[in-house]
Amino acid sequence: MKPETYSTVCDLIRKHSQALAGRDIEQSETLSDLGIDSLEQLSLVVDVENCFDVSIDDEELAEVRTVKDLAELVDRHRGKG
Amino acid sequence: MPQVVITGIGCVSPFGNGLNAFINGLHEGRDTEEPKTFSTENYRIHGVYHAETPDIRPGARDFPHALALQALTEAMDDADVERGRFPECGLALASTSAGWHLPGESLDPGRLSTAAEDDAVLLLKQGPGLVLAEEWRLDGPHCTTSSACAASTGAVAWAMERIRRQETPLMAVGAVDVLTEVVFAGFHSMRLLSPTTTRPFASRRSGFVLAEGAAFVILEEAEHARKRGATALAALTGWGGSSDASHLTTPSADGIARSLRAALTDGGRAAEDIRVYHAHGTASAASDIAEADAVAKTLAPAGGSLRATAIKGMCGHTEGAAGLFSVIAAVECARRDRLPPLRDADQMDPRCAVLSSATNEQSNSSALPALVHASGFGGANCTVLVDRPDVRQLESRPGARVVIRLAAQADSVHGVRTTLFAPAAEPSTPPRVSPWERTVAPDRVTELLAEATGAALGSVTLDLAERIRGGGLLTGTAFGGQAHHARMHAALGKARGRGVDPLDFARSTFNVPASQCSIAYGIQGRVESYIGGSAGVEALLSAIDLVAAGRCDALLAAGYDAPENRLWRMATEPAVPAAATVLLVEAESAAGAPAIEVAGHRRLAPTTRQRTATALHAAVLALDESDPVEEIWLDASGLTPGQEESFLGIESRHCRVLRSLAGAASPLDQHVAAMARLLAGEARALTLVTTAPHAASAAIRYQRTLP
Repeated sequence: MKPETYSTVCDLIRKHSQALAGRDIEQSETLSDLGIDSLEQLSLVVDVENCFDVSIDDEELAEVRTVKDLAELVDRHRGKG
Repeated sequence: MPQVVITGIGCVSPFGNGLNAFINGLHEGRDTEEPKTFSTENYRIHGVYHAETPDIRPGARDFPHALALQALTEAMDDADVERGRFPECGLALASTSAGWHLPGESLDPGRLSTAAEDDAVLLLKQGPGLVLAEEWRLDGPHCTTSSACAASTGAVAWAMERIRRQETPLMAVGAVDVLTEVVFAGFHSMRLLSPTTTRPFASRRSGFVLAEGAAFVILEEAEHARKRGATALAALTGWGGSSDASHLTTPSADGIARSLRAALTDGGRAAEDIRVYHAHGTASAASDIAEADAVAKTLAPAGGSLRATAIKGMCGHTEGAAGLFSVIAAVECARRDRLPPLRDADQMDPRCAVLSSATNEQSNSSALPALVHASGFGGANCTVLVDRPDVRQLESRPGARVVIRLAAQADSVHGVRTTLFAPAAEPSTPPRVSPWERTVAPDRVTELLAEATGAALGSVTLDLAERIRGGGLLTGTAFGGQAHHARMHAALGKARGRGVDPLDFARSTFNVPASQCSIAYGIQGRVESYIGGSAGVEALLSAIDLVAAGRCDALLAAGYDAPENRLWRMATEPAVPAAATVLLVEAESAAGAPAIEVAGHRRLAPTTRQRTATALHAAVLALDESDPVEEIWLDASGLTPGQEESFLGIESRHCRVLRSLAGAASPLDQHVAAMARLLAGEARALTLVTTAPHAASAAIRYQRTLP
């Protein structure tokens, strides 16, 4: 997982929750742990797809549990990591 | 109580033209196709179900109108109702997408005005209803509902009440929804669309196939049908409604269960009487489980199973029209002795085991009574009880006199102000300080509606606040949340298939401000959204009627709008204030010492025939009975200068002429002003006539009950 991917994903996550502003996000935390509900999570995924120019299908998304999972998925799509 | 029966059915479905095609299609199914009006190149999903006939094609400028007209014509023929023969017949229409089939015109805020009346009607959600009422001479009660996927069972419930309350013996209830890219993209962004097909309650379910269609049923008072020799196909004996008050997009088992129980109670049926459950069944991961849990809790509590069908498995999800298609399936499949099985009956999700699949070998008597359920975004639920046509008539229920206790008005200029029409009791419910922790951040209209709702709840005792929560929140809006649609449309213009924010789609549904307030304040009763300039007044009328019918003893009625949601306008339309007005409607017996009584009302259709001075004046005279009011107020916003002058020429009493601003709050504010006048002792009784462009009219008589 590329650090810059993880960092950008965390920035996108922070946009969906004011409570996370300025806070470090652990790789092992889940989006639910971070207080982002299911609808906001879908909105976050659209942001990730647009930011990184990737398309994430439903099966892949179902396997994502943690923030690290999400960043690694992005890197796989971009051919890195 | 007047018995409501169905005497006619018509539809254009994903299986083609007509009821026979629809019923046969529910057993045969069909393949998906690429949308004909937009490209799915940048989407993950490529299949939909169009509805068309050789003469009615997707992409036509009047496509929703043509579909609706075809369905209505078939239903009226089936019911043996000739055009113009029963002008007292009303029309209730449900639609979530009418108008958006012309996105370049309806969703582009850069398009400031349109001059032609014909254009306006094509772009309005209520447009098909306006045209059909005019063409078919349906001058009875009229409304358009838009509570997302619960809209058409909501329209059925509304129409049932019009017949039960003897406003009319006949109602045409219809729904039309068409495939539009903005809705497709919205569901796509929420990952609710299936790449294959719709498998409700199945282990391998993957969402639904989006579809379109139009359907109509003719509802009739049973004795009226008998006298004219019309065949009753089924009886509609009950309806129930609720709000989940839990999440914007994931249905709640508890909310659905409350709706199911309310329908049973209304229809005088026990859970064990129900033979078949017609599910909402959208084949999404979470909502199917919530629905199955609700059925288990309410209809099969002993741990057994109940026969069920879920027609989205064959015809896809026709959005707001889905509930009405299910009602038609419940009626007609029972008559034909052919209930469609659940699509993947041999691969059900074990968590949905309460639902057992129908087989094709069923006896006619065992498919009714049936419950038909629909749930909409935001947690709006509406369930209809379909029974055998010969079922015993229900007893009349004690009615109630209705009063208005208070009004709360919120706008972007003045903030919030509350007017009490009853002596103040010591409130013991403080308004919630931060109501949004359980739902997404609100947009402006939702904030305004919430401020007014919070002010209303915060002005009453704990006991009354609880009763209001159980009663519900009925709302009217002219422009809904269309700023969100405009944003989605702009995003599609930049990058088809990408960039549409599911939060915009969730917030865009017309019922969502009411649903978000329901979540924020725990309002679990009936939630509905009516559409049009006078829709706030219709919300008030519907609330009055629910209390008068004894369905609840307190609930809120509201009108709201904001200028950012009006994306186009007629050149002559006035400004839209950003405002929400909420009224507390209560049964007099529960209220204690109220000040303003609703002494009567009349609904008038948005047809030329009901917009004349004669028709409006007749409504006023009907409300006078033997005790004429002192004053008439006329909100002339929906009248031509000639019509206004004619009315003033007929009416001999002093008549105050008002002109509301655009949107659904301003017309309701006139009612608040009228009540304030009575409260101040400046008159004892007053009738206010509301008119609005492209909208139904209404007359309400208010009077003081205290000296």
